[in-house]
Amino acid sequence: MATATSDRKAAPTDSWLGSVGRALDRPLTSYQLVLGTTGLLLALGLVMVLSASSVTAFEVSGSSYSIFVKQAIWVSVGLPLGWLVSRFPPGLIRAFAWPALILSIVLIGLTYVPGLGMDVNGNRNWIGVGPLTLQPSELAKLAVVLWSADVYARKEKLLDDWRHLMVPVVPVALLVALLVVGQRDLGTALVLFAVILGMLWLVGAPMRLFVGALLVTGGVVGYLAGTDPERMERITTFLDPFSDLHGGGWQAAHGFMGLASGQFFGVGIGAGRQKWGSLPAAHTDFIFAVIGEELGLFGTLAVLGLFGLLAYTGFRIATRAPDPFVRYASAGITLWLLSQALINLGMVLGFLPVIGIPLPLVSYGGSALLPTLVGLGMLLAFAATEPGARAALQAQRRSRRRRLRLPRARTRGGADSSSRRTQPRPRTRPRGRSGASR
Amino acid sequence: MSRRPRASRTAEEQRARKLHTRVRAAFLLVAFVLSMFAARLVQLQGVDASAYASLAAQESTRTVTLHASRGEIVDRSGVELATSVDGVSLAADPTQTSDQAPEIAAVLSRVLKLDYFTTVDALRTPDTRFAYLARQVPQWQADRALAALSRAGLAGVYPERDPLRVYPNGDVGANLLGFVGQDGVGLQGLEDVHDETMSGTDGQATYMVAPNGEQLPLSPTTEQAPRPGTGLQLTIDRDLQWFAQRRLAQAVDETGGESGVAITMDVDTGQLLAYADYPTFNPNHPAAAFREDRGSRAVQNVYEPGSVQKMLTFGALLDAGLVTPRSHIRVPESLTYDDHTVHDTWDHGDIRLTPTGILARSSNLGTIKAALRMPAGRLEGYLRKFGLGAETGVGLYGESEGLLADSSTWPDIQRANIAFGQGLSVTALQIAAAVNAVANDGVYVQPSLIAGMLDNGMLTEPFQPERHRVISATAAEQVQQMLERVTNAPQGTGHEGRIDGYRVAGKTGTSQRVVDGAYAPGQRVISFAGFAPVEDPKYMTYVMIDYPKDGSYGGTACAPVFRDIMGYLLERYDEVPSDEPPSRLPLTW
Repeated sequence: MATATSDRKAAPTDSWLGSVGRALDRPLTSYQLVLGTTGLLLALGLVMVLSASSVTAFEVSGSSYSIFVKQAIWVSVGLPLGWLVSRFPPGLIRAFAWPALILSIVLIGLTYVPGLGMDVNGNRNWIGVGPLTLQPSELAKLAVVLWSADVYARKEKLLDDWRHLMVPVVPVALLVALLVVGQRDLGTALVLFAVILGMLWLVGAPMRLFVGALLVTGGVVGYLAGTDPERMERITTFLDPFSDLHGGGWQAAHGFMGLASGQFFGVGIGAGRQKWGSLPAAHTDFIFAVIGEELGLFGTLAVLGLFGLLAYTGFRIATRAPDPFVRYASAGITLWLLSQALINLGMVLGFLPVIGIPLPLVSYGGSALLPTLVGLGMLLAFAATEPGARAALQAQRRSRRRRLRLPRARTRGGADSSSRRTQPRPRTRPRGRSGASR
Repeated sequence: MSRRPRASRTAEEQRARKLHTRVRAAFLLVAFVLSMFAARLVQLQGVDASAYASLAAQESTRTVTLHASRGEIVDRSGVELATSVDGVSLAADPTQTSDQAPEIAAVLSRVLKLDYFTTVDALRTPDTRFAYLARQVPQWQADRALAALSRAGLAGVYPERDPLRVYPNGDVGANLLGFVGQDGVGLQGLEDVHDETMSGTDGQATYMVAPNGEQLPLSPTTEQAPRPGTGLQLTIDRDLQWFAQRRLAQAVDETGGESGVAITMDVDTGQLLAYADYPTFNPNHPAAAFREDRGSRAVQNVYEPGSVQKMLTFGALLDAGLVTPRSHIRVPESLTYDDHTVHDTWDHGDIRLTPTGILARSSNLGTIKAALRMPAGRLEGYLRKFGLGAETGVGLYGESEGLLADSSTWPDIQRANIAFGQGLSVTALQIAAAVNAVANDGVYVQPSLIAGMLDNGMLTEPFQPERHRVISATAAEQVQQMLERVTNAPQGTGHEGRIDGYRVAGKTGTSQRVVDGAYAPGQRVISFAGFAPVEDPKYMTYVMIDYPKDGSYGGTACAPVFRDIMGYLLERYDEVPSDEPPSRLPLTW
């Protein structure tokens, strides 16, 4: 019924809505959307890191490019890694779940070892090996997602029992979170917390669990805030950063000023003013404010749109994938990246207090970028498991190979015929349509 | 997967469906939060943008004044008398300095001798990013202060170009030039009179700065270029002025006088070549001087001119044809009007003098007798045409008109007194200009100080003095010849005014000083006015000393000053020595 009405409604405006619908129906849509949003956010991130870090970089090293170059190196390492992972079959990725979790726990443990653990801005969650510095907690997020997806996929049939929901995922994840909190990295702990909640939600934990968690959190926060005037002041500062402009509200307030100075179309790339020392962490946690200042509402809405599209795509992959692990893992990765993005954006926009969390793909920082790119590579690999996607991908690759060999005139025909060939496969059509109409 | 039993497959599908709903819910939550963010962004960047943006702008905008360079004052040949050199003002950004105000103020009060408490207050000025700490600081001092601040790690004090007014010749011409206050506004003299044109128009630059004070590139900048002020070219000759001031100072100090004036004019043009006031001051440090020494006594103070006036009286009489240089005048021992008895400065019985003799020996009684031939109203008319009783319009503030009462109100004694220079008051410049009219063959030329404005080095608006004939050229030449006898006749009172090689005409003057409206016994104003060369007068010099304490007369104290200044001048301007025979007009009959 619903299908019929929507079809009839779509008919007169077939030209536009219809073509969007058809595009979304294609088996490679998810794959291409992940690729597209990742590429755009990464490119925007590189440009904005260059712009936002130029002043700091010049001050520190004498070259405006020094921070950008580091980020570019991370990208050039991360992209091949992500590409490699995207070619893995899901089973291989799943095999990494346990090793990744153990590795990240060991690495976080190493941050407690004197001489290896490094202090960056009061945050000891770093390991220094020679000139290389790593933040193992960034890897831990991906590892926890992957591992819990693996565990829940194994427990598929037992998930109606809430004990199986909770054990071992919740204790292990909490252990990781506690290790991270122990090094005063509250931001990562918060993301881990959100990821655990998200996974629990996805595997179907009962509603009352979340209501309970919400009440407990609210109660604890309320109690802590109410009993300590200093905490209370911090919270009021976050609600109105201008009330303590020269103290706790400085960063948030200057984020606002940056955004507001950008207005609709921004002051232009590179022309931002807040990065000249007014806005701390302009190229990392507060890069969104710099985007807002230099590219305006136009740029910030584009970033929101890209993250929204990434969320749509990630969840779409999760709903379409036939394999439970792939479903949980892709939803988990999406949740992880989105929760991190939303916490970062919420912080810049004044909905949350200032917590040190970078904006995925955009902010400077290799330790965060590598796991993110690997995670997105996994998402690509998962997208390829969508019905018909692998065949379409192979056809695409074949045609590309053929195009290299054949003269131009026939190349186009070849490409067209191959894509046409993928369309009428009997198994893809009905599924695709039902997915789109819902 | 497809090989699994039917039941588990349904369970799996159920689970998948549940995941679908949960995923959709999660996506809705994400979408909801994202739309909330979008709304917040529309609010921050669209609706409320201007409020926050203006906060940002206010925080980082700095407006600096681009000080226009003040016009120079140069002498007649372009030598700088007052000029502006690179200086800076130090300004604070109180948002940066308020926390460390005591430390910064301590450094500045040590290096620049600024007042500590005023500086602390300025450093803490609320709600601004700009507050002056010191203006017109010489570059080197400012550099030292800034270096000291940066060594101490204190930020927030910035230099700004602020030209510094300097008077490279010290007190030379100080009373004319005046001086400029700390804020760059002319406070006295020509600096004050021409302040508006000389100061130009300050420009302004507004730009954005980083918290460390650096100008932000690519940020909106508005700049309004300053328009430099117009300069002034004076008629003064710097070297002559220097000489006149030194010579006058010496004479005033030697005689113990209160003050003195020496004025040298170019006879034909009325241009003032030297204009010396003493005591004077150093305009580079005006605060160190007495207030009354910073003005110009030569136009502000009035006094009774004394016998110098007699040449004007005889000029009028000659012009009216009432006397000739050789007229026969009987001069009695004394004359009494309105119970006042007038004597000459030397005792004599009845003597027979010509007008020449009367001038040469400076006989009051002879002058009175001659002047009685002319109605009072007519004499007043001549005197007014000589410029007495009216401002000269030389272009200095505070110029006095002097006092020349209406002749209808003159009592007999005043009429008698006025003839020889008492009972009226003048400024030194007025009497100098009047003497100049005699030297200029009877044509009065308004005295001038300013040759014109200097706009980019080009002389514009040359000053056009007002000129008018007072007495005929013949009468004037006769007076000139008569006055030569003052310096060259054996009984002349102005022998000290003689200059070797030149024919010099002059007249001594001594008058009683008026203090609080009454003649002060024993207090005199002495003077000497003269010009040379007599055959074609080129330069006129007037010297006056107020209240000498050592009993000096115009002929003994002022004439030597006249002689030295004129001697220097004639030589300086390569004046050809006189070859015509000197005046031999008889003094008696």
